[in-house]
Amino acid sequence: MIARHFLRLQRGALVGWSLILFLLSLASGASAAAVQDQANAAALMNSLPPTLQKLAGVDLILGSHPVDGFLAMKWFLLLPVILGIYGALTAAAIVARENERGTIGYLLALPVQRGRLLRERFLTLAGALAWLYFVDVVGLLVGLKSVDLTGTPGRWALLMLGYYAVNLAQAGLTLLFSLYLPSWSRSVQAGAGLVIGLFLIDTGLAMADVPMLGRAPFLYGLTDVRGALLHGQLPWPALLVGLCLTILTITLAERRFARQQITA
Amino acid sequence: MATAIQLQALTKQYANGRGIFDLSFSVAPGELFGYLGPNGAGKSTTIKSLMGFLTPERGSATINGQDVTTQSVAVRSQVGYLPSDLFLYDAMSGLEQISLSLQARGQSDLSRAKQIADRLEVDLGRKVKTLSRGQRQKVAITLAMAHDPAVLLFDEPTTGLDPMAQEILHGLMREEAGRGKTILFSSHILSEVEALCDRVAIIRDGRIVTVDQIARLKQNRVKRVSVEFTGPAPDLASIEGVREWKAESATRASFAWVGAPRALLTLLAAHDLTNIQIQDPSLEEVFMTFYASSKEER
Repeated sequence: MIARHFLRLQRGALVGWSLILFLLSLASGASAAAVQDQANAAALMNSLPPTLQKLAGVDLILGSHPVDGFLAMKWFLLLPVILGIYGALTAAAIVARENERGTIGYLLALPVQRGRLLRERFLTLAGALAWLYFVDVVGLLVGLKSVDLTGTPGRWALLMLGYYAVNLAQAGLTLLFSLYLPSWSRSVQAGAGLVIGLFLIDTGLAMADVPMLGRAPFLYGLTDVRGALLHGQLPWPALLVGLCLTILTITLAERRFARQQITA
Repeated sequence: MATAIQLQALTKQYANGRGIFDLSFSVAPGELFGYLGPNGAGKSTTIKSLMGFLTPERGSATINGQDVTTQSVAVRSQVGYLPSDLFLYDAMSGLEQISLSLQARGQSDLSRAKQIADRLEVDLGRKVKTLSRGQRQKVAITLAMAHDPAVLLFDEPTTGLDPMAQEILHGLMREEAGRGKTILFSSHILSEVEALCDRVAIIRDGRIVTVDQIARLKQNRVKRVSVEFTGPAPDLASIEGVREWKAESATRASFAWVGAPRALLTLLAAHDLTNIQIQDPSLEEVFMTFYASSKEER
């Protein structure tokens, strides 16, 4: 009931994000025609600056599977940032948005524990995020199909699982911050800043060849792109850290929300 | 006496020092109880504390025997709440929001909501953002009453309503009280409270000034009097019932009168007057009267 209500409130945004994400992934899939053979892939790779070639090890992936390598470089790199921002926006809407528009009183007048309210809304966010990753896969497949190419969706899914866990942790952190910040807009700024800031730092570290352990605090580096796309490995560091961080932040957010004085 | 709502030394202080302090009063089952005070006196803070939105620092409050802090979910399941500020979702219809409220309470029957909406003449099917301020208030009233709660907490319920809608709401409130429902409603409009309640609590600066029958409140009610004497104005400051005596000029004076109207007329009849004005006091003056008398009692 709480989940359905939150989904109803987020319906417009979710439809918009789904549509845009589908079109972007469709375009990315279709543009993979640029590297449909090894020669093209090598040419593309060589045209990039060396630091970019190192980024996420796409050089190796391109050599092994041109389409996956191309997607890793062109699309999978940005995907967790795009959906991280979606997660931050939605997390800020869980409580801070309700406070700002004065509707928190409606929610709190329902005979429902505050913790349950928060949990069910976050689970809805988690479901919406999973849906957007699914939309992305569909968009990519349709895009690739349009140029008679195929990728390895099973391995993309492994990669996306890692990114999904990272995005959940970022959303959990945004939710926690939003309970301390005075307004929804500040919460959105904090959440989006976190997502983009972590991404930029991690990208810089990746270009500098910093190993995964050094990139771990910035979350994105926990997802081993090469391991997932080349060897079909589960990105367990991202899953483990992402899910643990999510549980921790939600637990702290529940405690904070339970004590929060609602004056609106 | 059985109590539906009981406050015992309830205290909630904000960082700016304002809040509510040592509030103690009770409301009997089936009572329509007025909670009167100027803006910022602490009426909304009290009601939000009863709803569990705010955690009191000291004291306790119960609704139908259940503690509003430790048994908040159980309390909210039997309470209908109408806040002073609008709290509805603009993008949703009234019906959608009422349905959710009912579902949260394990109910699904919308017939009562539709009956109340018909009485208030509001279309629940329209999105809230398309409704006027008054219509939104009517949706909020319907929402508060839709699940047929045992206790209604109304925070300034007539805000935004036209006089006709106010009358309908007053009728609904009387009917609910007649059905044994307990209603605590806050207001800063003295006449509204007088028209509806037998008993009232007056709050000022976060403290209860008095909890009394309306009839007694009326007896104690202050009047603002301006008089012009034919000769020099006498000094009546020491007369019982005269407060805030002020000589405006050699022949004119004004004062606040606390007491029965007959005694005032007797006092004035003893002097030659060229003009007299007797006005109902502002609500603030009523509060001042109670505030002053409560200080004197201490």
